[in-house]
Amino acid sequence: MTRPIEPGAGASAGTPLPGEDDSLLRELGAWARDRAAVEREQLDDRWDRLAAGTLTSEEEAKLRAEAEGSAEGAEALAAFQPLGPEAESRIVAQIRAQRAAERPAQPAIAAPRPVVAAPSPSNRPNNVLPFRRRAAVWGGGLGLAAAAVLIAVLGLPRGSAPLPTYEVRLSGGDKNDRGSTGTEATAVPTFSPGARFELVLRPAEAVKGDVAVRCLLVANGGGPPRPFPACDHAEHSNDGSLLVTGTVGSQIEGPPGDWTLWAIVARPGDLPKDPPVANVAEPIAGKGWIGIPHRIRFAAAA
Amino acid sequence: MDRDANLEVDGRPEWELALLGDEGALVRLVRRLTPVVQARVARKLVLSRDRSGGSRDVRQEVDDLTQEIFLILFANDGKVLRGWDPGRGLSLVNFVGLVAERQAVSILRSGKRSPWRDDPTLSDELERIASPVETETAAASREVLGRLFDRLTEELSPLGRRLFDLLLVEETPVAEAILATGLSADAVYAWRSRLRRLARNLLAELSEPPREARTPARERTR
Repeated sequence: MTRPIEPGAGASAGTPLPGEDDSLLRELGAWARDRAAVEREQLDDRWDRLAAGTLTSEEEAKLRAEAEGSAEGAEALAAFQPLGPEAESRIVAQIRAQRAAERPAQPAIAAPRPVVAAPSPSNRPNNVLPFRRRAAVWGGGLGLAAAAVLIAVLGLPRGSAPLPTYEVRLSGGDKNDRGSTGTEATAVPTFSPGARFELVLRPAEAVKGDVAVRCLLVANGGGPPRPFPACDHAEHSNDGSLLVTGTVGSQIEGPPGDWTLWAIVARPGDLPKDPPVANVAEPIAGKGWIGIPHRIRFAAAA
Repeated sequence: MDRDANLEVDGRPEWELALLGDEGALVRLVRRLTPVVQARVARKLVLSRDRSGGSRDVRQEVDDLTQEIFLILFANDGKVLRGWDPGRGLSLVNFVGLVAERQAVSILRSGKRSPWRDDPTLSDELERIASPVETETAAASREVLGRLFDRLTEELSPLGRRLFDLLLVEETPVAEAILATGLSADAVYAWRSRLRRLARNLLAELSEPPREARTPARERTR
């Protein structure tokens, strides 16, 4: 039987029906209302917007000025500062690992434990990805880089030999083609015929065992991935680093246009046949492989 | 309602594509939901934190808990995420926010994930619980009410919590609650009864002598 809405429809649902005592619920509701008000006094919605990265610079400066005077405020700043792309990449990798572990056909993969991020100094900008600096295997040519951008993702745990974070460095190219307002992170490395091309993929920690690499180009305007065979001849170092180098136009095929260059790194045999790189601009990971995108432009011959 | 969280690609919601294994959709969804999960976790941590010393780095805790909650959302083929029903008036972001709040309370209190309950099961469980207890009085202390509210948060599904907020906190008239949730009048009244029974039983649980296993967890967060 349907309970009539009237007269209840006009009343607060906290009003008990005959024979029912809602005093505890009403007390609890009032308590929750009071607590919400107190919490909003302590942490107003600017804090949520700080986490979302939607505060204006003026609002953020004001919030920081208010908060930095107390231990509680400083703690709140640390807690609400956006976790950033490093944490997001780690979360994605963990979700993928969990999903893989849930598949009955792959019982060898253990359920993941939360990855604990390395403690970071509170003054480190959150959007800067922390890398362990190591002696470069191929460091010499990098100092001459006209364009170098760093991107990292977490490798996906795979059995007992997970791939670590990889650093990607793309260098060489046209020195005079960088926008005056561009930053290293946003400028698109441009390569004209005859330019030197150097792509280094370097693990944050030495990788035991072999790795494989495959590269793809995806046009910025869309379309299917196309092979970038230069990576098929990558040099491998003992620590898992990979180097692709050559001259554009002769050793490196660079079709004119704006592209996303995807480097797919995996254990031998785990390279995906069709990695889902279309319409994606973020690092991705699958079972036993990682994919790192990098914007690149190949210029037509003058 | 946030528009972005309900984005569709080729006619399918992005969150559904993410569950189907679309890598790009997963990356975008995590990027979109991370701020709300982080903010809910951060609130719980900052407001309940014992600063008497020896505490962990709060940022590390936020990071760990945020990651843990994402794993809960996507566990078992995304069972929790699949529990989101856009017809119930909660945006995906708010739904995830309630899940995050619930799990954060549970993990901080007991160190354990709160088991996911589908709403019908909740009802069945409550029906088996004993009759109202004598400890329910208007004199329930604010400290007890605080603990009771945390336990209620742990026990309720996002829909249950939404109804608690609507009916008891915001004191929304039933007719408006019906519109806001898309539930029938019967369902709204049934929910109010469930909430009442759950509150009574949790209060009875809290009135029992503390169990050994819970003591350390409570001390950890208070």
